[in-house]
Amino acid sequence: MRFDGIEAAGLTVAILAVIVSCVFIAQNSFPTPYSTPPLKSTQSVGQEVSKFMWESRSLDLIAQALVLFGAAVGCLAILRSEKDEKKVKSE
Amino acid sequence: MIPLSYYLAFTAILYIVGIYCLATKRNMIRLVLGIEILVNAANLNFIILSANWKTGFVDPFAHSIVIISTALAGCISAVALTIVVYAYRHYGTLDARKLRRLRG
Amino acid sequence: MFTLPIDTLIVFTVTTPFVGWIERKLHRKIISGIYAAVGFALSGFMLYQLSSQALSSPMVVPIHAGVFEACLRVDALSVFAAAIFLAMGFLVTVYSLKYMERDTGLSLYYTLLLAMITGMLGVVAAGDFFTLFVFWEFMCIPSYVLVAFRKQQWEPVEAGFKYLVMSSAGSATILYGMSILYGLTGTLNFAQLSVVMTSAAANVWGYVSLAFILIGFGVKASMFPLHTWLPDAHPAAPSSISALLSGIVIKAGAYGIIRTLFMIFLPSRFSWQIALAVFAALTMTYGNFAALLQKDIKRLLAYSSIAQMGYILFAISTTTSYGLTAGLMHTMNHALMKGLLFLCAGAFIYRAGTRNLDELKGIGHKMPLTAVIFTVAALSISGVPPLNGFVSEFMIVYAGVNAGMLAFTVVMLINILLGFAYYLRLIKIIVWSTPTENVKKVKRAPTLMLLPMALMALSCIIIGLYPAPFIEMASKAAQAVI
Repeated sequence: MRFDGIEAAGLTVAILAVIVSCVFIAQNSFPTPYSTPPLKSTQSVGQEVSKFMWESRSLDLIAQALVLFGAAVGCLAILRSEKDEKKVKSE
Repeated sequence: MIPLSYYLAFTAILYIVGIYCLATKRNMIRLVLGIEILVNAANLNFIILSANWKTGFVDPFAHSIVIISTALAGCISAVALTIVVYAYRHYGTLDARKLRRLRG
Repeated sequence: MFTLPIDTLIVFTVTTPFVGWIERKLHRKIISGIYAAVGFALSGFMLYQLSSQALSSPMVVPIHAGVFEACLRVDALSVFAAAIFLAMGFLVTVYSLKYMERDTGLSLYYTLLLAMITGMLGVVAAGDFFTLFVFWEFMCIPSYVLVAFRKQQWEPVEAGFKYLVMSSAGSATILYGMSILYGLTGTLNFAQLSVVMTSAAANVWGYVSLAFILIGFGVKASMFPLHTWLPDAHPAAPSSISALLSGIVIKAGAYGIIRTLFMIFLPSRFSWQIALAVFAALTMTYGNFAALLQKDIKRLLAYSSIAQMGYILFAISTTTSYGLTAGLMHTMNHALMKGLLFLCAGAFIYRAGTRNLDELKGIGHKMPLTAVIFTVAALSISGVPPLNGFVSEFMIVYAGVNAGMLAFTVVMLINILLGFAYYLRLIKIIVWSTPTENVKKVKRAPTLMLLPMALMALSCIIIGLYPAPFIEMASKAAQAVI
């Protein structure tokens, strides 16, 4: 295998970053949240999540559907037919 | 019970792996996978911290965030892979460094 | 559902592909463009109706939103930013009617344009960090595709992919920082976050979260070490899209920085001023020095955008109310000026078919009106007194002196001089050189392209002469976050 400069440098930096972050996490314990818990959990998490999502995050869900729409239109735009593409002058 | 720090270290390492992948890999599909790894590191972090309130309580808020952000990551990789497919058809290569004609 | 301007734009976004289908049946290529322009105008009207209510007190949608509910929170800053975005979107759509006529897939182009602006309106209106993130993706995904829209050449495809990879990594970084913030506070609601962060003790994990979020937004706002996508993506996109990217999409990054730094990581509790000022100084210096050496007109303008983002970041880093007002003024002025410069460059390219400055020499003799508008914009961005660039650059310098950041202010003054130098060179090449062979046969720009450009040049002059009402708006917007 050839020696790849970028790969080697990246690996070194990555290993250093792993060591630094592990030391940082070991030194600084993560605090519990400042606020008090919002609601009492009585059901299993799965049921709780679906209920919560429809009740409280409905705006996000609509926006997410829009993102899906945007991505679909984007894919169509990139793969659109290229019949008369020769006419476009280079910019 | 495993302490929280171990999980945090795990997501941090996952994040570093993602950045490493973006910085060094040549294959365009691997770059897309690198983005997925980054998003998943963030998602896992949400899940881990949702159980950090007190024993026995799991916050549904973080879970709903993760469900939505997974779909968003899917949208990004769909667009990215479409561009990759188009680039492969036109240049016949997936090597991002061979494409690199821009000076940036 | 959302606020009325956003709803209007959503309706127009979703219906534009159908209009495109009708358009193909009727063999008229202009319908979807007009439809999109109507959408922007209507949405702007809705925003005007909403503004008086939102300016007096922040408007929360849905009204009784809980702390954990997805919500929108429209305040003066949102209205200010949204007005800039909609105005630019409308002008660029009118410009595109003529500029993009040689391309295929126009209805998809306008759909993506509408989607991008919708996302940006959502970003500025979001009252919850995660809602902001969802709209952020809704803004980003169309912008990737729009950069790669002219996919017949290698450059847009490659630049689009590079932009996609870097910007998505930035988004993921924001999400990671957000998760740490959630772990610290247990909420992502902006109003709640600012309450919690004031009362809680500053923690080292808070700084970690701040760093991740700042880097994530910094990628979009082209902060110095993270700018590398910008000089590729902005020139490769069609000129109308470059005007939007340089004018407002990178401003969305600046908006994210303002919102998070002033509402979550309050300057009184987290000391980020000096770090941000250093990055701002590096950004402006790098941008200006790189712009000095460019031979490609759009690349030069792209590097100049990096420099101007440096000015805005410096204005933010003063953390005073006046400094933020100056930064917001410059945001508005830069959107106008740089948008105008890119549109002029687009007009030159449309007629001459080249981006190379050597081949564009003396094109001003053949396109006199475009050349006059270009000169106005270039003088304005380099800070010549009666124009709008001078007002905001002077305000930033004044704010810097007032905040006691003398060293950084001197760096900024030197940078303004550098900017003046290369814009003079640009004016000299376009206007005062003898025409080359290449531009001999060039005709004047189409009226439909000149119309939005003239309007923007006029507003540059008007803001320069009567800045008071605009400064008042900006200062109201700044008061909303400080």
